[in-house]
Amino acid sequence: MSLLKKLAWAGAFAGLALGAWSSGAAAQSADEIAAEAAKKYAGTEITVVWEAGLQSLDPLNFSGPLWEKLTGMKVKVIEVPTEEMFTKIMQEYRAGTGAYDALNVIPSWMPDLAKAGALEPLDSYVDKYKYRDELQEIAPTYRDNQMTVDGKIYGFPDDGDVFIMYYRKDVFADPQNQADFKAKFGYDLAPPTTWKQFDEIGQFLTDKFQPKMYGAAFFRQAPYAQLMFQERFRNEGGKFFDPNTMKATVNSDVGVKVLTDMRAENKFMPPGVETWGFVENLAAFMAGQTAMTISWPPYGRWAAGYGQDEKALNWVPKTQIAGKVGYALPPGGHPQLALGFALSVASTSKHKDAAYLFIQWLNSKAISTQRVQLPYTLRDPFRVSHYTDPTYLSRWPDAKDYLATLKLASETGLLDLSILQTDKYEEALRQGISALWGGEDPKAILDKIAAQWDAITEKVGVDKQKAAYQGWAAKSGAYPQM
Amino acid sequence: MMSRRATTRLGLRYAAVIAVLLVFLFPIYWLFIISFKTPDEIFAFPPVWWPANIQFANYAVLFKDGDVIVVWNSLVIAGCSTVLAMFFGTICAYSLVRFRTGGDDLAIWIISQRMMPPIVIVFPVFLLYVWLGAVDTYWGLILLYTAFNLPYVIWMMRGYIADIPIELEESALVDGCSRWQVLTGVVFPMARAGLFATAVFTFVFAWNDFIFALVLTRTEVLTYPVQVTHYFGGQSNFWAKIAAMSVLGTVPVFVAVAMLQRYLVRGISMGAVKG
Repeated sequence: MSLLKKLAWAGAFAGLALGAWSSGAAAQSADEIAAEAAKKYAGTEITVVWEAGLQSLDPLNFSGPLWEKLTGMKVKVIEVPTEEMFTKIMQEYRAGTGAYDALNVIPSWMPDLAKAGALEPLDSYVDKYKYRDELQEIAPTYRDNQMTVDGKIYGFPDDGDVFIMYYRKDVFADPQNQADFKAKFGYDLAPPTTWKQFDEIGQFLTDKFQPKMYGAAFFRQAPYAQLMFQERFRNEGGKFFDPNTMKATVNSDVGVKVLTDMRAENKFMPPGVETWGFVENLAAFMAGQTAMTISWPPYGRWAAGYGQDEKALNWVPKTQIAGKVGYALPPGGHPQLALGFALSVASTSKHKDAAYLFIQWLNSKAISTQRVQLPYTLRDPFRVSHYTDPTYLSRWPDAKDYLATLKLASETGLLDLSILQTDKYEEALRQGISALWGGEDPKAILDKIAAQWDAITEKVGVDKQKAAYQGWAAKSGAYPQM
Repeated sequence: MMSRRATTRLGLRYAAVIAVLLVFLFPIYWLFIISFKTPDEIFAFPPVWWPANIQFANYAVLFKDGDVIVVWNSLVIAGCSTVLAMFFGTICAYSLVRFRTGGDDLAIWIISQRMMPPIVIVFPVFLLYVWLGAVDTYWGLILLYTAFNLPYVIWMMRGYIADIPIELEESALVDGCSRWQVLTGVVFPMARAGLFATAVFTFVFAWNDFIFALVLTRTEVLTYPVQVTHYFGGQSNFWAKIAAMSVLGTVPVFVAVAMLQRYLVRGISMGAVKG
C-alpha cells in the first residue's frame, strides 16, 4: 500500500472515529452527562431540602435511591413544611452553615432568595454540563417566568403547577340536565367560560341535586383562596399596583367585585366550605358530592383513579367518579400557576458541583418524565414533552384530555405575584380572605390590604420595589395577554 | 326530698358542667377517633362520629415507617432536661431562700428571663449552636430546654422551699446532718408535692416546644411536634397520621399528669394554703 493510500485510510478512520465520538457525545443526554460527571463524587452525601408530605417521597423513595445507584452519591432529604421552607433556607444561609446543598424553592421566593445571595447562579454550571439545550425544552411559561432573576438562572422549573377546572362530564352531558338548563338560561350546559356562567350553573345544579350533590366547591382556606383571588382579579382586569407610583390598586372596583362574588358563591357550595382546604375539597369531589371544582393537577389524576393502589396514597379517599371527570380552563381562561417548585443550589453548599449535577439529573427530560408520573408525589408536567409522552397519555382513558388541558393552561397561565418580600403582601391577602369569610365588607377589606401593601412597599423601598414589580409585570405570565 | 327549685338548680348545674365538658373534651375525642378511622371515614361528609371498625392501621404505619422514633426523641430530650432543670433549679432555689444569695433582686431577675418570648432569641441561639456544633443533637436541645426551664423551676421551688419550716432543717443540722443530707433527707421529702408539680410542668414545656425544635433540628433528633408538621403538605394533609402521632404525643403527658395528679393538686395549692 502506498504511503498516500495509507494516509487516506488513516484519515478515513480518524474521520469515522471522530464522527462516531462526536455523534456519541451529541447523543448523550443531560441525565447521562450529569450521572457520568457525578461518579467522581461517589461517597459524597448531599443534603436536599424538600417540601414535607407527599412531595418528599420522590427523593426518598425514587430519585434519591436511583441517583445513589447510578453515581454512588448519597442523598439526605430534609423535609420542611411549606410555610417554614423559606425561613429555614434563609436561616441556614445567614448562619453560613453549609448544611443544605440542593434546594426546592417556590418560584415566587426566588427574587428574595437570589438578591439575598442564598442561591447559587447556575449559568456557568448549565454550560459546563451542557444542559442549555435540554433546559430550553421546558414549557415556555415555566421556562420564561420561573427560572431567572435579573437575567441569571437561579433555578430549574420543576413542577408545572396550575389550577384547572374539573367537572362532572356525566352530569353536564345528562340530557335532562341539558334541557332544564337551556330552558332556564337559554344556552347550553357546558363548562363555564365566564364567572357569570359559573354562578348560574353552580346554582342550577345545587338547586337540583342538593344535598346529594352541590354545583361546586373550592378550597376556601386563606392560603389557597388568596391564590384564587389573584387569578380571578387579573382575569377580570385588575392590576395589583400602579407601575409608576407603586401604590397598591388591589382595592379597585374589580377587587371589590371579585371578593363580593367569591362570598356570594359560597351560598351554593356545601355547608362549611369556608374552612375547606386541599384535601377536604378533594374528598368531596372524589365522593361525587360536587360537580365542579378548581385545583392543582393531582386532582385530575387521582379522580381518574390513577395510583389508587399506591400505599402512599391510602390517605386519599377512593374515587367514586373515575371516567366521569372532564377537564377545562377555569372561567376567564387564564389560570393561576399557583406556587410550583424550582430546583436550586444553595450558595453556601460545600458540594456545589455535586448538588448541581443532582438537580440537572432530576430536571432532565428523561428523569423528569418519570418523576411527573409518580402517582404518589405531586410533581406535575412542566416540559413540552411531558404533555405528549406516550406512556403518560396511556395512563388512563382520559389522560390525553387531561394533558392537553394542562398544556393549554400552562400557555395561558398567570404567575403568582413575585416581588420583594412577596409573602408579606400575600399574608395581607390571606388575612383579608379570612375577614371575608368572617363577614367583613369587601371594600373595607381591600382598603386595609392596600394600606398594608403600601406600608410594605415603603419599608422595602418604593424604587427598589418598583423595579422588581416592573420586572415581574413585564413577564409574559404576569397579566393576561388578551 | 329536694324542692322543685333545688332540683331545677341542680339540673342546670349539671347541664352547665356537661356543656363545658363537651366543649373541652370534644377536640380530644375527635383527635382520638380520627386516629382509628379509614381515609373514607375521615373525609366523609356529613362526618362519621364513630368509625364502623376501630382499626390501628394509622398507628401501625407510624411504627413501620419508623416515624415513632420522634416520640422517643421527645421523651429523651424532655426527660433529661427536666431532670437537669429540677436538680440545678432546686439547689439554686434552696440557695436563694436559705442563704439569700443575690439578695431580693436575683430571683426577680431570674424569672424575668422566662418572660422573654422564645422567638426573639431563637436565631441568636441558632447561630451559637452552629458555632458549638450543637444543631440537631440531643445534648443541644437538652441543654437549651434545661436553660429555658431553670427560671421556672427556681421560681416555683423557691416558694415551696420557703414554706418548709427552717426549724426542721436546723434540727437536722444540730443532729449532725450535712447540707446535702438536709436537702435529701428533709427538703426534698417535704417539698415532694412541689417537686412533682414543677417537674410535670417543666416536662410539658419541653415536650410541647415547637419553635426551638423546629429551628435547631434537621433530621437526627426531630421531636414529635416538628414531625407532626411533616404530615402537612401544600397539597396533602395526612390527617390519619397527624391524629395518630398527636395521640402518641399526647398520651405520655396524660399518663404523667394522671399518675402525679395527687401531687399536682397538693403542689399547686401549697403556696396558696400557706401564703
